Amino acid sequence: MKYPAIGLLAALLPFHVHAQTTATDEGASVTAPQAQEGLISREFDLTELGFQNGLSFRQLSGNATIFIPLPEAGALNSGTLELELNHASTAEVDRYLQVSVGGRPVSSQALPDGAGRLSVPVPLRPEDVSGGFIAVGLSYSGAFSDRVCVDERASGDFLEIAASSSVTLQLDQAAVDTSTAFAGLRPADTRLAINGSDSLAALAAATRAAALFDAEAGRLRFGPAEANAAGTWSEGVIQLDVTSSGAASEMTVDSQSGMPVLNLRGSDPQVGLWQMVSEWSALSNSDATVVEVVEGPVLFDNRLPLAGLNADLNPRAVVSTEDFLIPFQSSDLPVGKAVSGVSLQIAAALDPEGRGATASVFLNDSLLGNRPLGSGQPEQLSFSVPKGLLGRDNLLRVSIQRQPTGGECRFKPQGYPAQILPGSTLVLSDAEPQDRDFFSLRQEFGDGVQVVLDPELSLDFEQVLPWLAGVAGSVIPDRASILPRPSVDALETNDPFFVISDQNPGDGEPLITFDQGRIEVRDTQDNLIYSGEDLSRLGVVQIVTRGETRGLWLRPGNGPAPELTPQMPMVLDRGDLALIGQQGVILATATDRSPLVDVVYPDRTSFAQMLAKYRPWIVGGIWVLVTLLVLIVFQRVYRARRGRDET
Amino acid sequence: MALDAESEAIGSLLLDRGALTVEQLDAAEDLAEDWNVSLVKVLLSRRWLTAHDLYREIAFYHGLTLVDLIEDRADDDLIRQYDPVVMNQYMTVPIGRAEDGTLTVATSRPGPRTVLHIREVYGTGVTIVVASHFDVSWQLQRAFREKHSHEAVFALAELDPDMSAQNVVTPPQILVIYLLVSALLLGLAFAPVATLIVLNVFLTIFYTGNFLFKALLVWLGGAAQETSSRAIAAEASLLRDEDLPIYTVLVPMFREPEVLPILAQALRNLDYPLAKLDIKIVLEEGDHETIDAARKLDLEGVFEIIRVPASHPQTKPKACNFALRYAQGDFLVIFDAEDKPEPDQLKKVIAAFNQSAPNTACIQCRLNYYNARENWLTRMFTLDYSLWFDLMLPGLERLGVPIPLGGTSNHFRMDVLRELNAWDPFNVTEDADLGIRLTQKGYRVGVIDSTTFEEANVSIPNWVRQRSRWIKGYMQTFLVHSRRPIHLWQSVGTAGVFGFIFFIGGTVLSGLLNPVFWSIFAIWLIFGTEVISPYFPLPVLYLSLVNLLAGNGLLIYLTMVAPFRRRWTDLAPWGITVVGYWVLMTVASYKALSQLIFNPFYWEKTQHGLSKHTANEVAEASAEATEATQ
Repeated sequence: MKYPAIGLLAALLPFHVHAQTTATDEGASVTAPQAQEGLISREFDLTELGFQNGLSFRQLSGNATIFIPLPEAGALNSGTLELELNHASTAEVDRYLQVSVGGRPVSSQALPDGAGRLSVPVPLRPEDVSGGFIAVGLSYSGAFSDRVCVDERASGDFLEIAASSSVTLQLDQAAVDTSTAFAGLRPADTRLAINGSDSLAALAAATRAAALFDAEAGRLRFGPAEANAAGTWSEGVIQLDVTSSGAASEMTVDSQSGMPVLNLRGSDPQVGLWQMVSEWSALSNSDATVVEVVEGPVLFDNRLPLAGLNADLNPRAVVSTEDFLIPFQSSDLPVGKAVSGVSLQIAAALDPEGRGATASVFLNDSLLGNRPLGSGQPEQLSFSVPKGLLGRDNLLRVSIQRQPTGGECRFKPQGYPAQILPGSTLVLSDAEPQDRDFFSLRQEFGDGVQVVLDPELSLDFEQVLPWLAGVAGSVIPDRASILPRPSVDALETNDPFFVISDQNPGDGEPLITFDQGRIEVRDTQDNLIYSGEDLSRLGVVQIVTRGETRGLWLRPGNGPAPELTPQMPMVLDRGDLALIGQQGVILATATDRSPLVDVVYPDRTSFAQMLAKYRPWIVGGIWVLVTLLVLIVFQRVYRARRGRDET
Repeated sequence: MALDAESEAIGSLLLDRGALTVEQLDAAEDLAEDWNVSLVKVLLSRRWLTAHDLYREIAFYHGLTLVDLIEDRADDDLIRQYDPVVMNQYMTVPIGRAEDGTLTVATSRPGPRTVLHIREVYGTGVTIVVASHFDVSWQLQRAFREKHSHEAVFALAELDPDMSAQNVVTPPQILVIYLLVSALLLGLAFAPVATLIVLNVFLTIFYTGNFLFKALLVWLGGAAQETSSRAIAAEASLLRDEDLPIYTVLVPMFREPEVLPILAQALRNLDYPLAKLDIKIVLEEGDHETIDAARKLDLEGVFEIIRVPASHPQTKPKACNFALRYAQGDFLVIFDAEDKPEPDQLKKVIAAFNQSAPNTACIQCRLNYYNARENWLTRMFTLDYSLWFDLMLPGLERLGVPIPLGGTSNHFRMDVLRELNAWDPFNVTEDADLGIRLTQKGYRVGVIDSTTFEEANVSIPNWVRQRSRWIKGYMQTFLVHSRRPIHLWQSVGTAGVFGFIFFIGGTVLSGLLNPVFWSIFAIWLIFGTEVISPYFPLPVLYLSLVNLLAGNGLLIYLTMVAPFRRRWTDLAPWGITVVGYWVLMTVASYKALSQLIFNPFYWEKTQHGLSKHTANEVAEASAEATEATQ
């Protein structure tokens, strides 16, 4: 998971909260947390909770709930949610934002007419924690007080809660003593310190960590922990010790420099990492957790339920338009499968005049089709998905629309519910075998990927990790089995692979290969883009093939490794060749369809290159030969005529 | 018409001397009256008595000596002092001069008219003797061997060199080709993609034009023939034998003795007086095998073997040119040895000439195959011929476009044929060339609904040899007639030029270009659009797609409907496989191109008699011949 699932769920889950007139004390404020003995401060913003764009409300109504995860309730000493508001209205309207915590109203903030910015602090208390979360309810409401005509659309109002709204939690460091608590409370940024880096288990663990901890967004770093700001827990440190025997993975939490550190020890610590972020993490709620791998059945058929994609399919009241958003990634699909259709079961209530709604279905913003929902009963809708529409990150959007009833200056517009029922599925079919894109490889990696760090590689393990992390995080799904191999020769034939090497591990010839002398990367206008040292500094990622099996080849560069951030992640989506550098992906292109670059090997004397290089000379030579031939023919004709004339 | 007195007297003599029975004499006299020919000619067209016996009785009747010129050879130098055309016309030949200066002249047609002619040409001091017409003709062939052989090869090249393929390409053509190649190379050197796009545009447009032109031909030619066919058939049925002209039939053969009985029997079965047929079996003098086979058939006296002296090039047109020197008909037709013309074909041709414009110099009959269903190749060949002769050639005729004549069954007016110096011996599809040449000279070629059935090739290597010769000949024809483009345009008109380019040039070029476009298609299938898109801008791509789908679909469709005219609907489904046939055409095209460069005048011999149907045809023909003599 890239973000805590419940956070995303909260973004999509408006529910009704009765407007309350009870306001919190004017001017009530929460004092800024002070570092205290035994307490650690954990700060994050709404982005970390899944609200990348914050929240927004319009037309004098809107509800949302923010779930702040706190799996260990006892760990919370105090906390604050600082809501950053940006609001406006074009008419004189009485508006307010009511905030509740754990169902308890804690604040009602009046919003003045016109535009403005406000900061609303919301205190968080240990008693507010329930079920592993603090639920912060937001209810935006208002009314025209001096007018007979009631139509919210005329108010021109909005309220935006910025993504930078911050949450500050004061945690009892001593309470963060289990791997569950660590996993649930840890900062989004993770640091992995590895002892025993020369083992395959270390490689597997590093790769696993990259996949799990959003390395492609720069959330994972390697190496020993750095000093934190006083009392601020900004980085979850995992100390990894690879052993040659014993349990696969054993986890304990202790404190270093006043901060919790997860000690992960074992012969295959990657399984511990996986368990830590899986839905089974709560099982490890003890001082020490031992994890072993048990093979389980893998089930899939030709339908993938939307309910299994963690999408919010709860009923919505639809006044005019409501969007159901179902995001999924290529790695959510079974290996070898592609989405060929969408089968939806949708129910939409009729309004009092007996009118239903309309469902419009979009995949990645392409309209698949729409159908009227005029019966008021659940209806089965099927749509075909054209080829080429899917990528790495996909969004299925079902837009339910109905003509608002009410309004007209007499009645308030009324919404009636609609719901995508659980039987809705993505229809799967066999994927086209010729697809050569990073996102499809990510899907293939879902059933397990062999990982090889070539012993002959010019970089050592620590130097490789920053290169490996971003690529692995981008193309290896969380659930994928990591199968480390000592060398390219040890690769098994049927499983896809991820090889970090200076030399091509495939048996074909990719567009860029490093055993043919100098390399020049040129654009389609034949302009030189990279060559020599410029290219050596970059990492090169390519899809290669061994036998019938595809895999990924990463040739790390000797320049600065990628320095990724959530704002500048490394996303390997379409294409089968990518150049990566300090700023992430510099160039990605497909080599088999409309390639953006051409690669020339000046030292290589292939026929095609010879032909391209010496084409004018070759053509000129042919022309000279043709000319000579013509002259010879003319000479013979002339002689023959002269001979006839003489006779 | 009543029998002339001489015939009556010779008939009585033959009866008295026991050479003929009463029934035979009655029959011969009836035929002579019906056909309006002498009794001797009738008897020469029957095998009731041998030619030697007949000429012996003729000599006896006239009180002249019968000489055997095979045993007692004539003086060649003496013969060469006289005009061979006149001698051939009157069938006289001087055979020697006595010490007293008396000239001995042999003739196969003794009689008052010949005597007057001999006195006029050879003088009064002449001794007349009788010889068979075979002997007279043979003496002429032997005496004028060098002269006629030279004329057969070089007459056209010397008298009308622009129309001869002796020079494969002329210096101006070389210069034009050189400039075009230079422009292409210049483009490839400095703007390869643009050059290939331009080239592609030209070729794609050419393909489109080719498809459309063929569709137009079929559309125009479809209904045009129905009306004229009925009129020709009606007049043919009304023609009286006595009014029919002498018809020369040339049967060029080379090392194919086994199929000769088919044609012999087919000619006997013609609805045309056999006595009015001047049949020349044209053989290479070194082809003893076929010469012996022809002799053993004991053919009627109207069959004559012409032995063509060996010389380069050894081609069918050269042999025909040589035999033409001894032809005596007003019209001439060429049949292959295994041909089976429809019985009323010659009469239909006479009727067609009567109904056609005065400048009509040639009538092309349709060709098709009697072994159509023998294997896949024969089926495809039949569909090919049905499309060509039944649908396209009538379209060409309707448009006034030069018609490339088919290999056999083209009937000529003898005077025009001689005027044009007959066939080009350096062109390996001399018939196609002659068709274009006739149009250029202001003559018209007609097409009629009468079919000659042939043996379709049953063997792919044999087919490739034959087709490569045809395509090489088309290349020669295109090169010859494109030497003077303005003259071509002035003589055949705009439609004629387009027709010439698409029908002759298109046939050649499509065979050569098909593999290129098939390869591009395969590359597109395997590697996708990206690989070819730089060379196929969208308009060109769409046009190519139209060619691929509509063009090929149209040609397959036309191939499938071609046999419908003959009600051979069972062959229609085989039209789907015509793509395989096109592949063979491509193979043949490249072989043709290779030969055009390295061996332009080589005559790629087609082996006949390979079909099991042909063996049956030979057996049937032999049985019919035996039955007729009993």
